[in-house]
Amino acid sequence: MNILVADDHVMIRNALAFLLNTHPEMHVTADAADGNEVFIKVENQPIDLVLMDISMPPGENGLQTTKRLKEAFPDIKVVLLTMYDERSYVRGALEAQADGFILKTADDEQQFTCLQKVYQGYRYYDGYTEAMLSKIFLEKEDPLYGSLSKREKEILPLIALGYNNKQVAEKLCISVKTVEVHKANIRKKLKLDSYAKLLRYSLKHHLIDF
Amino acid sequence: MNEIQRWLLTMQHFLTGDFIGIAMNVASANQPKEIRWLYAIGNLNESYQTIRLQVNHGVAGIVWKTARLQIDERIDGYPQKMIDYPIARLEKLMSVVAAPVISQKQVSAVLLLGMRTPYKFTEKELRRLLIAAAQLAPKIEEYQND
Amino acid sequence: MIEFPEELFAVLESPLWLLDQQQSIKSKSQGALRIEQSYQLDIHRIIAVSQGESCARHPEAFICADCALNRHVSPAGFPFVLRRHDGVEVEFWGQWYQKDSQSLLQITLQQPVLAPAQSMFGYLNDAREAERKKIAQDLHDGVAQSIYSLMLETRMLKWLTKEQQSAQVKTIDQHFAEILRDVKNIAGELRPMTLDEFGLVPALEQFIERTYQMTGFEIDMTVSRHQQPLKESVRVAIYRMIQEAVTNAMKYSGTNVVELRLDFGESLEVTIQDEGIGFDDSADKLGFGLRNMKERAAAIAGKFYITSKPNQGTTLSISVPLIEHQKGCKEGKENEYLSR
Repeated sequence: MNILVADDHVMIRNALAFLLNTHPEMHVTADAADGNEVFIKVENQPIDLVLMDISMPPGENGLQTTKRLKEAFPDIKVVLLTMYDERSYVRGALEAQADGFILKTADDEQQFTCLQKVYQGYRYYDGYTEAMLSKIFLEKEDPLYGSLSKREKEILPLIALGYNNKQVAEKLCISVKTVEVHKANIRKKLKLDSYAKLLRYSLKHHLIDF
Repeated sequence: MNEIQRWLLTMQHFLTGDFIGIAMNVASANQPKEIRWLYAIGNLNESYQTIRLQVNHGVAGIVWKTARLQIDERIDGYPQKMIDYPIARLEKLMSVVAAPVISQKQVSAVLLLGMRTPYKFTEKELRRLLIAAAQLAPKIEEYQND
Repeated sequence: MIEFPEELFAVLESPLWLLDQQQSIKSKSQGALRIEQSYQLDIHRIIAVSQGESCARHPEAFICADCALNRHVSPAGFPFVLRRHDGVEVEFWGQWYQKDSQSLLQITLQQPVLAPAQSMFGYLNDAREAERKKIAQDLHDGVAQSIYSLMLETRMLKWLTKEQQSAQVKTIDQHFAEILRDVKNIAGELRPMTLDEFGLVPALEQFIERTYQMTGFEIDMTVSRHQQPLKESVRVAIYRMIQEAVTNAMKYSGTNVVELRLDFGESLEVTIQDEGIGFDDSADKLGFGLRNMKERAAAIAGKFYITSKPNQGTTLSISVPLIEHQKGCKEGKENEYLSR
């Protein structure tokens, strides 16, 4: 695996490269200090995977670079390395089509796992299941889904999975009446007037895992 | 006059700059670093020696942080840059470009060219700067080993 | 203050209200009547604003705890907003004078609050936000990244030979010391401990040393006569004003040295002078930075002057009455702000 390490701090680049190179399958063959440099190096050298910090002042941020890279070189894998685990950053990474997302505080094992999975073709956002990612993505993509309240978003997959009202109420520590109200709202907002439609919606948007 | 100063004099005609300066870490080994402008040509006075560079601030500081060439050709008209770039304030520079001098993957010095009028550095001038920085690297190593 | 026959007072154009000891309105000028016709006005609320008792932005509301303006409002000059009868909010500048049994409120019309950056509110907000942003950046891009770098360097240890490890540990040690230094610097920029523990002059000495060390900019300070202890509000205000004056000199004067004189007597006289390129001070309106300094000085019962001529340098003077004087004013808020 040929890796390019991108971070504005030279000391961080050097240390990351050293640590990645201890892994027998990984070779750091290039480094870059900003988005433009990443692009130039990817154009000119064989690189399989780019491990990039989201924040690389004073140039463009890693999310923008990822977007550009994936458009120009669809085969290249991009893993974002970041201090931020806030939702907006995860959403940004999803929109930029980053293959991987991992926190700087994650340990070596987690980082290696992430890089390997991504290299094998999976999407790997450390700490997030596919269902969680779909939810996050959907929030922005589908305004109908976005109009659901937090509680309603919690209830939807439970109903799809087949829990009845009583079970949902127990699981969430709310009253059955409340569940019924939420369920009615969900049906109305998403225009899903049967269980089958609701199940199909949940499956289609990966809101439930199997 | 030492080796580096001599070298800098010979570079005057190769490099474009009203001011040419070299910044280095003057702290002893394993002490917290202290980066100062040690050598200069075309300086208006000796005040540049009093500056302590902050990594992350100013053109030279960012060069030290990133180990990459950095350029700012529009200092005039931005009073805040008088605060961010002390060397520009002291030497009245309006356009600067700076290159890292690298030893063993780390930055050991910064080589800076400054112009006192707004100036657009050409590709050729930038390339020459990088060549000069490469030449300077072993000299800095020698100096630090003494 | 001149004694005005009330009938004559009523003829004045400028919006003025004359109040008696009980703060009932004795007389209003023409201008005042006009304002009252067009705007929703509560004189006593406005006076409360001038005393820092109300939120200047919304005179209808009361005490906003964390307002940037709290420190900058004083009877000598304060911004506030009135709602016109058609609902549009308009920014005003107020001044409240008090002497003996009378007080006078004057209002001047400001530009409508359309472009926030062009108002005092906008300036103060922007300045505060810019300061916070810089600190956040220093912490995030500087300190946090350095700590992350250290984390990686520490992880490297298990892969190094014994000799390499010992060298690496020394490097890690060095980096820790550098981060500590950075954190101290950031904290010092926020609020130097010396100011609170040892006073104004030691804090200034530290500031001067640091400025010279970092930037080569020289501040030549002389302190004459006996230093006196200062109230916290005075200490901090003077320190910040000097900081700002030095920053301005660095940005605009074109010189590398500034003279700072502190003269302790019945009042503290502070002078900051440079021989730089100066500016034309005959323009009626001062920039917001300088107006802000004027208000800061007024808030500690002081005065602020600035003189400058192109190519003839710039001189800032601040004059603040000292503790004995200020002590005498402690009884009753009314006496705290003497008339000018």
